Amino acid sequence: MKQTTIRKLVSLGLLLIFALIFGFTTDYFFTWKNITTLLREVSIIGLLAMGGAFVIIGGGIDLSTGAVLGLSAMIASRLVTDTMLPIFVIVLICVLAGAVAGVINGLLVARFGMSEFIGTFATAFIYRAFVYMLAYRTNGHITTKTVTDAAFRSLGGNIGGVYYMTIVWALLILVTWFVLRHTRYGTYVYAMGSNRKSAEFTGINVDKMKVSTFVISSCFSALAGVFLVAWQGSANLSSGEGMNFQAIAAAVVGGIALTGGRGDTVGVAIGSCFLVMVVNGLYKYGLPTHMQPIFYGVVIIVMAIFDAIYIRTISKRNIASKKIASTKGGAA
Amino acid sequence: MSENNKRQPLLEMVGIEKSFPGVQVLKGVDFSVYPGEIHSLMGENGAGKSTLIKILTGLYPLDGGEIRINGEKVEIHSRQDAIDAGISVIYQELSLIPTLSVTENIFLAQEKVKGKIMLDRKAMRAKVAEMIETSGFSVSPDDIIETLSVAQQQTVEIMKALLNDAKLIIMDEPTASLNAAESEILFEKIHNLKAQGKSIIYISHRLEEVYAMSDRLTILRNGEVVAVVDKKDIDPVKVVEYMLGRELKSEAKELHEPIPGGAVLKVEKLSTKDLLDGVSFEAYAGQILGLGGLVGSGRTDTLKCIYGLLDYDGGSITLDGKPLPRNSGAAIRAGVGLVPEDRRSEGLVLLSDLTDNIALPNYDLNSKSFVISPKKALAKAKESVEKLLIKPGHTHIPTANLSGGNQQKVVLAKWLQRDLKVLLVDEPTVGIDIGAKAEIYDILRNIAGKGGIVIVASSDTEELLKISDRIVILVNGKVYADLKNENLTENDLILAYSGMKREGAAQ
Repeated sequence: MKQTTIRKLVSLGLLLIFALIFGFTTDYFFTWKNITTLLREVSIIGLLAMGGAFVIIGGGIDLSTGAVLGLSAMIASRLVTDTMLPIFVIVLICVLAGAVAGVINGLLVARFGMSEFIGTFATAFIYRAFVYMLAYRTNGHITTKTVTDAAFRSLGGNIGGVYYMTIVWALLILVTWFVLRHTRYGTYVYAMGSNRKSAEFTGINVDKMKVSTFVISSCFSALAGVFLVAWQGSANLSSGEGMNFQAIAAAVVGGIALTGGRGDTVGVAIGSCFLVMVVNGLYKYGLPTHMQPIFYGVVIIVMAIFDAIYIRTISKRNIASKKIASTKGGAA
Repeated sequence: MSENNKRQPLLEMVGIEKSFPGVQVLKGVDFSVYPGEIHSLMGENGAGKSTLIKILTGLYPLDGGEIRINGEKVEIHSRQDAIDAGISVIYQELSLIPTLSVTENIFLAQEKVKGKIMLDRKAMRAKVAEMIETSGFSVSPDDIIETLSVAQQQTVEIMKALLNDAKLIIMDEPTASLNAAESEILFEKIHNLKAQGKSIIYISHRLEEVYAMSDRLTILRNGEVVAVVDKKDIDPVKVVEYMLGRELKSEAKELHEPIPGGAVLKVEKLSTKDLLDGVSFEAYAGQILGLGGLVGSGRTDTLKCIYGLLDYDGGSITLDGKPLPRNSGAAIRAGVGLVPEDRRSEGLVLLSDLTDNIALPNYDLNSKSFVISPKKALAKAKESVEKLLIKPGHTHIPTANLSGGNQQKVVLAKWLQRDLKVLLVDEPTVGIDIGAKAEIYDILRNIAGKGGIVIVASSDTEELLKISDRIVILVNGKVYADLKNENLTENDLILAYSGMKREGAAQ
C-alpha cells in the first residue's frame, strides 16, 4: 500500500477511535448541534492547513498564515463598517490582500533565496503590524468594533445546521484534492517538494511554482479571516495568532510530511477534524485551554516518529532486496 | 570498420573544441556513433569525457566544431534541443522524484492531458505498461520510486529516455552503485536497446564491462582522441596505455619494512550490510598501506569500520590482538584517527579557527576538569603551526579561509596531538596543490616512521604508488589483491581495479 494511503488510514483510525471515546464518555457529543459546531471551528483551521499544505508539500513552510488571517479579518471588518461596498467585493479585496501577502512571501523565498522559515517568520511580524495599523482607535486607544451588517454576518450562518464556511471548506477539499492529484500543477508541487533539483532539471519552473504555493496558502488564510469575522462579529489584534502552528499540526497529523512531497488535502481535512475534536474533547475532560499546546506537541512528535520509521523501513528493504538479488543472481 | 564505413553514422561530432578560462579542455575531438552501436568513451578523469557529453547534451556551448545527426548539422543549446535531437542521458546520480510513481516520473513535465486540465492517468499508465512489457522490466507503473532498488530506478530512467524517442542514450557510470547481479541485468537491457536499433554511449571505469560490451571504443587523453578501437582489436593492456599515455615503467623507490615488534592491525573477514564482503588484510607499524579500488569498491567503508563510524555485521578488527571498539569516541581513545574524504564537511568545523579545530578531539588531554584551558589549546596550535608549516601562521583564522593543503594539515594536526597508533587517511590530497601534497606525504611518512600504522585510501593511482609500501586492492567489497609496491605500475592497478591482471605483474 502507498505511504499516503497508510498514513491517511492511521489518521482516520485515530479520529474514529477518539470520536467513539468522547461519544461514549461525554454527553451530547454525537448530537447534530455539537458536530456542526465543531465543524465550524474545523473549517477555519482547515482552510489554513489546506492552503499551508501546498507550501509544505512543495518543500517549504508558511509561518505567516495566522498573521494573514488576522490582516484579512481586520480589513474585512473595516470595509464592512466603513464602506458601502457589496459583500462579494469585500471578500474579493480580502482574498486579493492575501494574494499580495503570498506573492511577497514567495518572492522573498524564490527570488531572494531566503529560507522559507526566516522569510515567513519575518513577514508574519510585518503583517501583524498592519493589523495594528488598521485597528479602530477611540481617543488614540485601540478598540474592537462589532460588525453589525446583517448581510455580511449571514456569511457566518448555516443551512440546516451546517455552516456556510463548512460547506465552502468541504468544497475546497474536493477542489484542492483534484488539483493535487489530477493536474500537472499538482504533480509539479509534489515533484518540487520531493526533489527540487530534479524537478528543475526536468524543466519545471520551480520559482514560479514556489510563489504560487505561497499565494494559495495566503488566499486560503485570508478567506478564513473573512469567515472568522462573519462568525464572531469582530476582528481584534490577535485574531489568528498561533493558528499557523495549529494549522501545521493539523497538516502533519493528516499525513503532510514536513520534508515535502507527501500527503494530500483529504488527509489534511482528517487531521484538522482530529485536532479540533480532541482539543474540544479534552476540554470537556477538564484540560484547560492553555494546556492545549501540549497536545499539539505530542501529536506532531508521534506522527514524525511514524514518518521516520516508514523511511527507515524503506531503506532497509532496499538493502535487503539488493542482498537477495546478489545471492540469487538475478530478479532485482 | 569496413561495414561501418558504408553506413551513415547516427552522430558525428567533428573538430569539437572547448576552453575554460586558462585551459583548453577539448582540442578538436572527432567522435562518431553508428545506429545500434554500443560505443564506450574512455579516458582518465580530466581527459574531457564529461565535457564532451555536456556539449552533446546542451549543458555547455561549444567553441568550435560541429555536431551532426544523420549527416545533418544540428545546434544543441539546451537540454530540450538534445531531447529533440533524440539524445538522452542517464546520469550517475539518478534524477527521479522519490515520492512519485513510475508513471508520474516517466511523464514528468510532458504529461498527457485530457480536456485541457485533467491528467490522462489511464493513457499514461497504459503507455508505461506497454514499455515495461516490450522491454521486460521488472517494475509496475504504479510503484513509488523510493520503494524501488537502484537497479529498478535505473530502468525507470531508461524508460524516460525511451518515451522521448531517444535514438542515442548516454550512460554515465550506470553500474557504479549496482552489484554484480544487477549489473548483469542492466547489460541485458542495454543489449535489448541495441537490438531495437538504439545507440548507446557508455562511460564506465570498470574496464571488464567496457571490453565485454562495446562495439567500439574512443579513448581520450588531455582533450584529444588518442585511439578509436574496434571490438575485435581491443587489447586491455594497450587501452590502459592509451589512456595513461605512459610507458609501463615503475619508479624505483625505497620501501619500508614493518618495525619489528611494532603494532599490528588485523582486519578479518569484515562484512557490512550493503557493501563489504569479507575484507581481510593486515597493516603494520612503520608502513604506509595503500587501499585502492574504484568508487563503490569499499575503500571508505573499510576505513569507517576501523574507526568505529560504520557498524559491521561480520568479521573482526583487532589491534595487537585486542578488538577495536565499535564507536569512534572509544576508537580515538584506543589510538585510532581518521582524516576523512571530505575535509570541508567531515574533517573541520569551518567557522571555527585553527586552534579550536585542533583542540576539538583532544579536550580529554587539554584538561581533566569541566573547564577547558584555552591557553593550552593555543600552545598546541602554535606548536602545530610551526611543526607542520601551516600558512598563514595565524592561530585564530577561521579554517574556512585556509587553502586546501593547509586545511588538510590542520586535520592532521588534530591527530598528531595524540599518541596515535593507527592513522586512517581517506583521499589525502584531493584539491591540494603539488607543493602541499609533498608536505602531506612527508607528514604521513613521518607518522609511519615513528611507529604508527598508516592506511591511505585513494582514487589516485599515482599517489598510491608514490607513498605506499604495500597496496591492498578492493573490488566489489572484496580484497582482490594484496601487493608489495615493487615493480607496480598504474596500469597494473587500473587493470586490477576491474579484476584483471597484467601478465608478469608482481604479486
